[in-house]
Amino acid sequence: MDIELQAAGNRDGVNYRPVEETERDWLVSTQNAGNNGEMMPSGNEAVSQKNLQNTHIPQENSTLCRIKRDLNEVVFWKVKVWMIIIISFLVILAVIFISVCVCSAVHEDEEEKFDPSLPAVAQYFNGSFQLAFEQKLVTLSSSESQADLQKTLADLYRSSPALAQYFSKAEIYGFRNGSVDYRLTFLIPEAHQDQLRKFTLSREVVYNVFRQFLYDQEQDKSGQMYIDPVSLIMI
Amino acid sequence: MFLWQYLTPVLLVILQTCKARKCATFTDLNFGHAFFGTTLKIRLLLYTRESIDCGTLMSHTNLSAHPHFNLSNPTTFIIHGYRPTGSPPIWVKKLTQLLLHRKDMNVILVDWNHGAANLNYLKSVENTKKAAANLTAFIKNMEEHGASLSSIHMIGVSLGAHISGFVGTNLNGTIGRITALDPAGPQFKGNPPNERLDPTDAQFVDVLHTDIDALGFREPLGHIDFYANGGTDQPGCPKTIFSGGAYFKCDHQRSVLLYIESVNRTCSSTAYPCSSYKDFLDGDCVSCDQFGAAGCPVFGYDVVRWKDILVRLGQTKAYFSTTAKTPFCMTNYLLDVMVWNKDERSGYITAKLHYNGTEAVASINHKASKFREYTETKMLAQVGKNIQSVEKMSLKFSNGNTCSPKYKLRVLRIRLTNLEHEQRPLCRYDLLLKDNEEVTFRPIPCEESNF
Repeated sequence: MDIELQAAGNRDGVNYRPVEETERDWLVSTQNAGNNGEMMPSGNEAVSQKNLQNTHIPQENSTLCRIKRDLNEVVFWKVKVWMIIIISFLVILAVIFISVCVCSAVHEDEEEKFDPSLPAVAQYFNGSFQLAFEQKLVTLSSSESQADLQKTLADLYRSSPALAQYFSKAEIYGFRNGSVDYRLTFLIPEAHQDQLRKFTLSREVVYNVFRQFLYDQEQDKSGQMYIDPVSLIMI
Repeated sequence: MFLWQYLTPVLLVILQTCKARKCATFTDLNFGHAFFGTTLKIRLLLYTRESIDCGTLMSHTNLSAHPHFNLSNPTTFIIHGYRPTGSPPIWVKKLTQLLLHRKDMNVILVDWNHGAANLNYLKSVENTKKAAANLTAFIKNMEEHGASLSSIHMIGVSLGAHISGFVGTNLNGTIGRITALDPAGPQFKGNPPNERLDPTDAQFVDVLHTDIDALGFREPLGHIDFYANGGTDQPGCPKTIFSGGAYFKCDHQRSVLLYIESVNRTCSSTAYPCSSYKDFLDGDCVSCDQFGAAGCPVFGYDVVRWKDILVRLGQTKAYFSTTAKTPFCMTNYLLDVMVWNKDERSGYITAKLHYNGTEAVASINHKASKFREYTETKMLAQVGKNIQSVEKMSLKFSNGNTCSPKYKLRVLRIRLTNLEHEQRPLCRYDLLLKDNEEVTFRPIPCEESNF
């Protein structure tokens, strides 16, 4: 079987005519060895041994040629061995690359999941702020404006990446001399209560999220600002 | 004939004024001299406020020959280093002028170009001891004429730093101050203290290292040793040999440029005592409690203000970073980040500070920082500008991997503290930093924190 294939290779390898002779010698000698279990000196081999110096290079060439021939063997249709090797490499690479990318694409952000059904306790933050413009106060006394303000506050905390999941509601419950009283309600899951109270839902974070929102509004300079950041109080 | 009667006195007067105006200049040698070697010859060039641009060649013995030389004034010696090409150092004139602008003093430029110009570095090293002996004799002479040794300041560059050290040893450490600018390393590494510069050579020894991995000296040599940019590669200096001679001398010469800037008060570089540059960049050495009210030492000419504490502390290693070109100073900020991600995240933070319509990129030591839930991660952010007030800030988080999940950094609070100026730290709460997306915001003055 082996020899047949080699011969087929030889037929293909028309380019390798100069070394064909030695090639065949080598084939013959291995054939002999295989058949008889011992080396049979052949006439041709004697010749090649005589020209040891000359045969040295062709022998090296022959190994190369054999590899080339092996690579050029047709496996089926027009597909040759070398194509199969390269394709299998590419397939392996593609599989690795695709799987890594798929993994990263389907990566689920655990922190975005939140289960609202967990038992929770309420946490309140009360406080007040001062309205900067008197004329606004007049319009604010209407319940419509009160709802506006309430919505602004609720929107602020609902859009907060850290606090949104715990936020429950914001209430505005009083105006006194241009000062507005508010109450924020958060629901803290019982499981991580202590840590959440200390960090994420600490007064510092809840208060400063409000405070930086007021500073940002001030920056806008579109006339929307009507809460003075310095007047913000939260307990 | 009639004309000559009038011309001769005029010519004589011109000749006399020229003679008087003739200034002594630094010996200018060429590569040929260095190739064949030079023997030691020390010239002392005196500069005072009366003659800022014009040096006077001094006699080593007859001090009274120079009326400008006021021995009741402090005296500063400038001693250059190895001159492989024999050319005069380009910085001496500037340094002399700036010193004289600072204070009324005698500046003596020690010109030992004959002796320093030698292709064979070992010969120049040999000459340092001889030069020191010569200077010692001169200073003793000064002392005999009424000068106070504690008012003597020696500024030595490279080999000149060790010359100063030898002079100090000869005078039993009685001279006031030695400033060593990148003291030479080759042939001095591993030497015992009396064979190199050491803290006992003067009442106060301050050292700057800029090239510890080549021409400079790695170990601390003074009461305070400043390591600019860790003392190794200076920003803006060529990284490869293809840039020619600058590759060899740029790091080494940077020491003089930094010192000149400090004399000129271009800006100030606060240095932070630390065990290593890595720790400094990690933000582990931002406080200078051991210096009390004086605060962290400022590199350069005015470090003498910290003299008493530094001498008491023995030896201090201090670090600072610089920009690539003048002004070299950088302002250091501490950036604290606290996240609420449940899993640990690691990555790089890039920060920009916006002010007056422009922005400055803060360089943060680029090793991946680790962010753990409810834990503060400290980073040192260095800015090459002096920003009065930060109006806006941009942050970017990248985890550095090309094909990995797009992690988000959920920041509870960031705090930016200016380490050099007493300013209220700036804070921002509740930020979501998506991978590789820049977020710009307006920081607010921090309030008292309880976590």
